[in-house]
Amino acid sequence: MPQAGREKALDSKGKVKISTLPTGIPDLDIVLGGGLPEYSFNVIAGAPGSGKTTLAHQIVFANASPSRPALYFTVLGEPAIKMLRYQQAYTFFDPDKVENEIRFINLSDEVLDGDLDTVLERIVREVEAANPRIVVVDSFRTVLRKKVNGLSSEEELQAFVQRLALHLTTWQATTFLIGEYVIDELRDNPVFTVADGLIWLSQEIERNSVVRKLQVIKSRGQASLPGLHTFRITDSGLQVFPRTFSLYSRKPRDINALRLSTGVAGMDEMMGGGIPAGDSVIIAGPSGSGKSVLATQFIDEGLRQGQAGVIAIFEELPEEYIARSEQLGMGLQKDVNENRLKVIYLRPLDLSVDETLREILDTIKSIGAQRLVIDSMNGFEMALAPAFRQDFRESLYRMVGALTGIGVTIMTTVEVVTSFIDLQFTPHGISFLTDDIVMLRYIEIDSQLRKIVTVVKMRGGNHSKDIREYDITDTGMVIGERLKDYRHLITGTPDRKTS
Amino acid sequence: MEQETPTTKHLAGLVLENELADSSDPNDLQSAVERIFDKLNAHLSIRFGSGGYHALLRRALTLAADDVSVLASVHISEGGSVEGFQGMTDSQSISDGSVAMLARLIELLDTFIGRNLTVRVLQNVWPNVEQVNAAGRPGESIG
Repeated sequence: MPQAGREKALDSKGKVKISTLPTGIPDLDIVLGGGLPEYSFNVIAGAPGSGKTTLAHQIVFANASPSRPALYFTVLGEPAIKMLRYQQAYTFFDPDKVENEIRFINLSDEVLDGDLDTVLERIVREVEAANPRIVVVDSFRTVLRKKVNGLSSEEELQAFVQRLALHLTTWQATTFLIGEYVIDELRDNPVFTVADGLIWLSQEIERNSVVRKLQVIKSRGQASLPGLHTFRITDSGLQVFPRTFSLYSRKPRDINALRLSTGVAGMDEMMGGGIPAGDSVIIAGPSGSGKSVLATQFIDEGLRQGQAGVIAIFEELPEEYIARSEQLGMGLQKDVNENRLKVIYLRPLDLSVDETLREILDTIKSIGAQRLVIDSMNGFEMALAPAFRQDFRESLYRMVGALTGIGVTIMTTVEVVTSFIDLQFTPHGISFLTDDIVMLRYIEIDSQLRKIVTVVKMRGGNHSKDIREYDITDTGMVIGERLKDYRHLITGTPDRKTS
Repeated sequence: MEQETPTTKHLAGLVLENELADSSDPNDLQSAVERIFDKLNAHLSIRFGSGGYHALLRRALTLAADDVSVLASVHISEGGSVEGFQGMTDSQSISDGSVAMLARLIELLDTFIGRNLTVRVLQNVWPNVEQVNAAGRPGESIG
């Protein structure tokens, strides 16, 4: 993917080369398809409080220089002095750049007392004097609204926007018009027709969760990532989490892939020698069946072999998880201290899949992890904002694809309600997403609740067809023998075979 | 509102000193004061709009008038000019009044946009204004 700030390689037959500018938000550059096309005329739209001004400031601070400064025109709306006060809270705000590389100019007098020609003349005059690389008009909507109320015709508005676009592009400025628009206004609005790019910021409120989303509705000259991308506003400004489905492609299966030990001898045997490296495995079973224990042993085994690991948990605190592992004789705390293991806790109840994926990917890369545990998928679903639970399958598809695309071996625990008449491996019908499925179940024998394990699926090769008993001991999961004396095991209430 | 701090008063005094130093008649205090506020009007109106700057100026005058009684005869015109210093004959009154008003204006800018940006704005008009750090000690001269 082309990097912002560098020219795109195009046909070398004299065609124009469109350079891109960075937004100052690396993942937004990915969404835009490489950055902002130079000299483009863009609109940043959205409801009040959606982050438009902050985004504009990040772009300005990322691009202004002494030789090509940025002009930030404030109009009506948030007073300029208050805007400067609040924007200083962000880490990207560098006061040393203000007044030299970044110049704030207020147009309220021209808007209130003059007409559109007066506004245009003032902007053009300032632009010609400063030779800016970036021009922002905030809020552009207030310019047009004032003139609409002053009965400017639609033709006058159209002409104003076109003349403004022409002047600013001719002076090689990349322009951003900030506006409080609603999505219904997309149709028949001259501003959107003239604009080369249109970035839309929104907030969705569902029950108690608020999710911010960004969409590149229009981008002339380059292909942007389609769809709605979640973002957050932190003290660093906007942080964007791109939709990932087109970013990572699954590596071709290596039929001779190294087999990773699960840390449970009998399990490795049932899986044909272990888990093929790079596979996605689901451990499905009811509550208390030992899914987390197996997952912990998987990570611990990797650590013993020098493979760093990441555990993403949703239902308990890292300290609690590690304490349980200590009870099984696995000293995970030492590995955490020595940066071979990261246990990340994700539970803000308004996560997006992409944000979760970003955190997991960053953690994996930070320690070069080769094994990942997600414990559990049910907890992950609960941690998502309600809006994302509706397309959980699609979200998981993107996440699993992205993670396996970087070669990590993933073990995910899934709680399934045991039904003795309906053999369900995974909720949501997500079995197709995974390479391997291990199923844990309870059975009743002689008035005892015992446990059985079977490998249901292994995409990459043969596996045992056995249904074996297992137990959870004080050293972890121990696989036993086939229960040869019984039949109808998977019903949950097996019969002893008669001899 | 806090009392004007020594640092804002010091900065205000430096602005007056710089304007007098640039003047052809360093004893013409009235003209210097008039030029200071004309320059601030032009400069800050560009950034904050005339409405925004004039509101700040009126607030500064109100606050300063509580400290320096001669400011009772000073007012802000529609166009943002500061009028009333021309009628004063006592140089000390002109100096005390203008510095007090400037100090309050600087204090308001400090409150809203911070000392760093405030000094940068002032240095765009008076490049030799010395930057004063948070402790009130003069820093390096910039410009």
